[in-house]
Amino acid sequence: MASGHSHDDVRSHVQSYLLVFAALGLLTVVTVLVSYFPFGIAGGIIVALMVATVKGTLVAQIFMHLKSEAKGIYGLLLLTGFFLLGLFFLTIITVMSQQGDDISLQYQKSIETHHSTGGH
Amino acid sequence: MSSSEHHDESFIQKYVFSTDHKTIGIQYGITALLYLFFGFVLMMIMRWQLAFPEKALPIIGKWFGESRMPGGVMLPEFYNQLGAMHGTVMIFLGVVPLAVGAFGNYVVPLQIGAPDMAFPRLNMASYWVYAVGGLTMLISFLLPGGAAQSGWTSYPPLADLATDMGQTAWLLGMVFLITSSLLGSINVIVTILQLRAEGLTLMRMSFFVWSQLVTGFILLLAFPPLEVAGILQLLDRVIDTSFFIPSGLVVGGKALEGYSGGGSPLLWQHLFWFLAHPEVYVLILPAMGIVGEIIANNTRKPLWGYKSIVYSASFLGFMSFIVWAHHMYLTGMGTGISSFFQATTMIISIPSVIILTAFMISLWGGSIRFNTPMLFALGFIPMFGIGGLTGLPLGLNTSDVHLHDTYYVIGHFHYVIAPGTIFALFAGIYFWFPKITGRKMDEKLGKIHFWGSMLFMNIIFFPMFAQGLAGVSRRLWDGGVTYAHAQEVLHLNLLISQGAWGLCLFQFPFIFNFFNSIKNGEKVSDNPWEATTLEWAAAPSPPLPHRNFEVMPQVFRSAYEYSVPGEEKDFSPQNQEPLEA
Amino acid sequence: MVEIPYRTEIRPDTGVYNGKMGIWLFIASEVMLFGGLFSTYILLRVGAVSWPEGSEILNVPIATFNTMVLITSSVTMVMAWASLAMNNFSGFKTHMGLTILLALVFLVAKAIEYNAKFSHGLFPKTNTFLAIYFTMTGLHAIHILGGIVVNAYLWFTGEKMWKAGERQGLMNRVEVAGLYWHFVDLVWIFLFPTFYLLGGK
Repeated sequence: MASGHSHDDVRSHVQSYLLVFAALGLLTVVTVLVSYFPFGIAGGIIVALMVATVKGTLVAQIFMHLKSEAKGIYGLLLLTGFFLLGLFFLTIITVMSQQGDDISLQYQKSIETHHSTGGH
Repeated sequence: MSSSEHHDESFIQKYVFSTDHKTIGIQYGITALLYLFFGFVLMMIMRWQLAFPEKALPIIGKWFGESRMPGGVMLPEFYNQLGAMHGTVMIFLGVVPLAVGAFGNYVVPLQIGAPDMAFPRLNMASYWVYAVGGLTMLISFLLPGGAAQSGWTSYPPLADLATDMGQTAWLLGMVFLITSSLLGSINVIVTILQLRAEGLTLMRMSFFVWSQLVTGFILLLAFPPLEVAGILQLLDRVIDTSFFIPSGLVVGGKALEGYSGGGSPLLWQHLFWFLAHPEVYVLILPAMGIVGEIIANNTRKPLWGYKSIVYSASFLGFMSFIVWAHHMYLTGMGTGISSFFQATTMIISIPSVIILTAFMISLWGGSIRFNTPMLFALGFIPMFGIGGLTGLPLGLNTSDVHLHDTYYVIGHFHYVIAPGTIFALFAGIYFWFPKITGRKMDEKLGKIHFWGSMLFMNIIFFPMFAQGLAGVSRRLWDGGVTYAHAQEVLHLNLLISQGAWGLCLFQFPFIFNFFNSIKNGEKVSDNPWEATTLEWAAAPSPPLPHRNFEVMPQVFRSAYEYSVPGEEKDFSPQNQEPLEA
Repeated sequence: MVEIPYRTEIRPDTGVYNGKMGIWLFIASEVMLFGGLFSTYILLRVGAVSWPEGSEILNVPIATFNTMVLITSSVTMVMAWASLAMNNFSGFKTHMGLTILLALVFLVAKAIEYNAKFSHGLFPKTNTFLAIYFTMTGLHAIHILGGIVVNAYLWFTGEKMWKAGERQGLMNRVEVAGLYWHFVDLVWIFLFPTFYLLGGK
């Protein structure tokens, strides 16, 4: 076949699809349960992201056939991932480096002060 | 399929809903040129107000009605509409559709030896989505409150709260235009990577094709965050969310009601500039590609430093994603991150310099033919040079404190886009006209067009540096009349406006030449410029509908084999087999 | 008319056929689209004075159910392609049909969820948490709808292509649609914990 998948290839793939299905189901349960653990806010975010990344990797590698896909596709995804991280980190670093508090916080504080002094 | 299938195509199938990349390219081209002219007209009306603040524009002024120019005198609201739409129309409806939609679509499949783009129906869809987006933008002028008037940059809170319906139409229009662009960029990338003729390796591709490839990637990955921002601003305007509305906002002396607050105006700026910076490389790369083709062809020598040019263009595309906050130096960011963006901005100037230098070295020792395309290509070089150099004080955070939002910025970017990119696009039109129509445009009219444009472009934009350095802010409806620091440079407003109207006069030879030559231009052979690339060497003029080539070409050589020692002619087409050793 | 090359066969030096490269490029742009939205979430949350814990406002059980529904639909989708690869056309119809059905179940559950919010006076304009929640899940739901349309088209027209001997062509279309569908599932895999499970401030 032009796409390079023989019947036997596909049959063994089907096995891995079902295994991944089970794994994803399990990981979903895990991620919900773990959200009740007292990891703190930052810890909770890290754990949730880690589980989601594992799930996502399984979907990408096995369902989306990334494992056996052409190198160029990997390159495209790496490039995209790099730009994505740039978007996340550079934005948040820039905003957090604001001289003084975030605009929103400033206004919020001014409203609180207003109310506590009775406003006018 | 037999070729008789095509004689069976109805008028609609052949010319309106065509899937042939050449027809679509022409559709993009004509539409974009009309928008360029429209955007130019918008600016010429603005320049009246700047030259003669609050004076009535004779005769024409009254046509705009009481809501825009009562008694022929421009209202500030209308000035702002003209300003916001001039930028939007020129960039998104004019230059990019011409550079990528028209030139990319028409030339790329031919230069790589392909019968069409990879996805012809998707190609047709991207043109029509662009058409709808453009129409949305045009109609916005007629909506209650008028067209968008918060700048092409559309910053909240102003853009979020502006009462003109045109702002909402602008956002809708942008969503259509971005969608069109995404579909188009997918098509260009797949076409270039998958449909190259046999023997056409990546390093044998013309620089024009390389520039379209890098541009495709930039468009693909940089536009989506702006699509997000557009949707978020639409939601703010239509269902009163507070993505960009901070808490405690006071508008017109009263606390703003009806919004939850908690949003961030800076969020818009980040999402906007994440696209808008790479966008400027979308504006320049295809232009550099065109200039490269024309220089090689008219010096009868290979381009000097082909590899450096290709690597530079790729590096440029990559770096363009991590410099954007140099547009935001004055938003109060910390010195650390500000220095990061300054560093990346300085680094990104290097590949541009490499490309420009390579073009200049390419001229050395060449047998230069000074035809019209070559004049525009040569003119590009110093003009882009000025544009690029004047960008340096803007990229450095300390000097930008003084120059941000002044006329200096307007001078800088117009040098790059107007006598830069647009000159390259003119060059491309004169150059590829014979391939599209089988006839050449008139050389005398072409030279008049060139020299007039060259002169007036500089008259318009050079004085703006002086105004900016004196501190005249951009987007001022009265051109700075009320500011003490502007008084010394105010007289330049009249000069600049006269330059604009003069520039307009010199476009008429071009417009006449363009249409007249379709019918009456000198008939030429398939390869009148004696060029090496496949569109000239292997396809008839015009190329065959839906297949381009009689025989699908095979490639044996690199892109610019001019004056090869031992060969009979001073050019060796890519599909010509090499001489036996 | 000359055929466009590599529509069904793989081009040797790139390793893909045209449609596959096209869909991966599209997915890359969608990564940046949802990335822009996640970046919005981060900025709004960091700048907020207070931010609710997901379970305070949102319905975790329904969303967990929906997560399982979508994951299952991803399995049935890839099984639809695998059926074609093993020459089992009726298997394709069954699995593709299930995929579409599960997608509809997801949307119905979503509609129930949204309706519950609205009837409690919780709207996108109420606060920035809800604004970004409704926008991201809403856009995601629109992507699901798009996927349903494409999958339904393939379900209805697949037989014609199969019978006409364009088997590789149909397989490729299903593979391409499948890649899009898995991506939509992937986005939800990140959306779910972000909104429903994270703590507040």
